[in-house]
Amino acid sequence: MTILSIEHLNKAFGGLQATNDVSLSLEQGELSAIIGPNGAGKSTLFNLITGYHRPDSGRVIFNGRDLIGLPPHEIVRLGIGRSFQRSNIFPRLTVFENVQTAVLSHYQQSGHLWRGTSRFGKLNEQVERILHSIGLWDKRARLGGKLALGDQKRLEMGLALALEPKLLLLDEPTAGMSSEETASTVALVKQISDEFKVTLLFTEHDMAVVFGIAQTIHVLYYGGIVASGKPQEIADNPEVQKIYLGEKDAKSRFRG
Amino acid sequence: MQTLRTIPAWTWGLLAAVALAGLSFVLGEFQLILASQMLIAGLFAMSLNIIMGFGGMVHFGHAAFYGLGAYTVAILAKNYNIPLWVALPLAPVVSAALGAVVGWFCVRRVRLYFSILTLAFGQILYVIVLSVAADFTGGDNGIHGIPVPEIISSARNYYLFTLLIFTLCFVALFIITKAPFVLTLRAIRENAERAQFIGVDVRRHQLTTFIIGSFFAGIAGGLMAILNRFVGPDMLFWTTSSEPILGSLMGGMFSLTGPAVGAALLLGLHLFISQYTEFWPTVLGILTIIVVLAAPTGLVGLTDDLPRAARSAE
Ligand SMILES: Nc1ncnc2c1ncn2[C@@H]1O[C@H](COP(=O)(O)OP(=O)(O)OP(=O)(O)O)[C@@H](O)[C@H]1O
Ligand SMILES: [Mg+2]
Repeated sequence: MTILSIEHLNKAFGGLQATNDVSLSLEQGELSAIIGPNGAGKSTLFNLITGYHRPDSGRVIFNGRDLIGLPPHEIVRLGIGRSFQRSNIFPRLTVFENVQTAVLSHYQQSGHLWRGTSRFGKLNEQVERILHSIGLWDKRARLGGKLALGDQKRLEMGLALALEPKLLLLDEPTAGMSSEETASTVALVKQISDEFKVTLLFTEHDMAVVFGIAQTIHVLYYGGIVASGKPQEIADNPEVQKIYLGEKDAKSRFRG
Repeated sequence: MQTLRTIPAWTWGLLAAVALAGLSFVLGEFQLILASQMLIAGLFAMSLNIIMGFGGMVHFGHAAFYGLGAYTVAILAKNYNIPLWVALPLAPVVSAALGAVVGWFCVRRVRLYFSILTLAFGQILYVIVLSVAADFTGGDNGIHGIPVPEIISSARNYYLFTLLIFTLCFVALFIITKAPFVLTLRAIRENAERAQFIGVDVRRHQLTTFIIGSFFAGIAGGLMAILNRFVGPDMLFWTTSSEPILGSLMGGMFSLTGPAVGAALLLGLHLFISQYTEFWPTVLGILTIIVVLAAPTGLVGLTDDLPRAARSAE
């Protein structure tokens, strides 16, 4: 079953066509990746799906609903969570409070005026579970802004997980991480995809990561889709190879 | 664990309230009036600080809602002979209703543009009270001789009455600051964009904050009207808005008690220094500079917000 379908999406910034007639669809439960060189329009595509930008034309259908024109918070409430490429958290809230805010929002308690946050037992247990799974439980009392970059990226992912999304968009989840951190984050992404029935779409520059876990890969180049398919098909695609030719050993890297 | 941490806060609050009530038997009439003014200034500052400190929205027109509360009491009690026990509760309702209208426009903009809008709306309300609605408001002259019930007409009793209302408001605000509403508000202050992407309706949350702040400002204004038995248009003027801003700055914007302490201290200091010099604005300016440069988190500092938040997460 198709959960998200993007049809003929276009977005220009001034004269720059950042998204160029993009069409793609995601199947329920699928783990897929978007790759493409810097500036190819990966983040812009995420921004169009989540209501950060409004496309010039085209449609984004999620579970049968057209998302275009909806404000971001309503799109979130329909079940789309996202993380950002540059860590985007609440710097002067503690790690615990960061995730707690997201969990409270997910359960529509953000506006509660009189019950103390410490008295939401069930929801706080949920916060605890999320902090354990992103490996930040021990750092729960630290301020978000005081975390190392890799930890901030993980917290970023925790905020998205707290929303229990049906579709999770991760924009370069391992950017700025050491190789151990990358490995644990990749394991986490894989675990999220396997354990929960989440449909997951991520962007990533590390080809080993992409070809290691993605079931489907979409290649973006100058705003347009060049190829979509299984990892093997993408690796064998001559056009894709040409795009990545500038990079050393592109072909061997594709083989993961 | 949890009770160990919450009991001391309540205990301290209760002790403070009892001590403040005890003062009423020690202080003379003049001092009791000053103490009442301090409590009202403190409440006014706390009402602003929900918007400015916790919400991060610098509000230059807050005096309008304070003044509206005062005029509501004055007009109802004086012009329509409505008992104070009815007029006073209506003050925050009127302020909150106007706050909803003004806030609806203001939260559509952020930072400086938000501040300028609040200033503009505040001044519009000031001009309405000063001249447009002068038949009701007495224009420049204001409204004198607001009738006050016998039971709260003495300085001591009125102080105790003010203290009671102040305490109730403080408890209400304290509860709100511990609830998801203010946690989410702080998140919005930190990163409004990210808040949207965890599903928070940022504008609606900010509007609610604006209305809550206006509500409590209305109570403060109503209390002031009764204390002075007089209201004048200056209560809405933008310089009146600066008083709780400076009070919050002195006391500490990131806490609940800070602004109340800061505003009360400023009022006392104003009176004290005015005995010796006419240059209060200069003294105030120097004080402000010192606080901003040396202790930007104010006297109460960060004690209420961050470290406690950090501890409560454990
Ligand atoms: N808000 C914006 N205003 C103007 N131009 C923008 C904006 N956002 C993106 N762009 C431009 O659109 C193009 C695509 O940017 P985008 O961030 O989507 O690329 P990307 O594939 O995510 O790149 P990277 O791998 O570096 O993250 C770039 O040329 C970028 O400069
Ligand atoms: Mg990007």
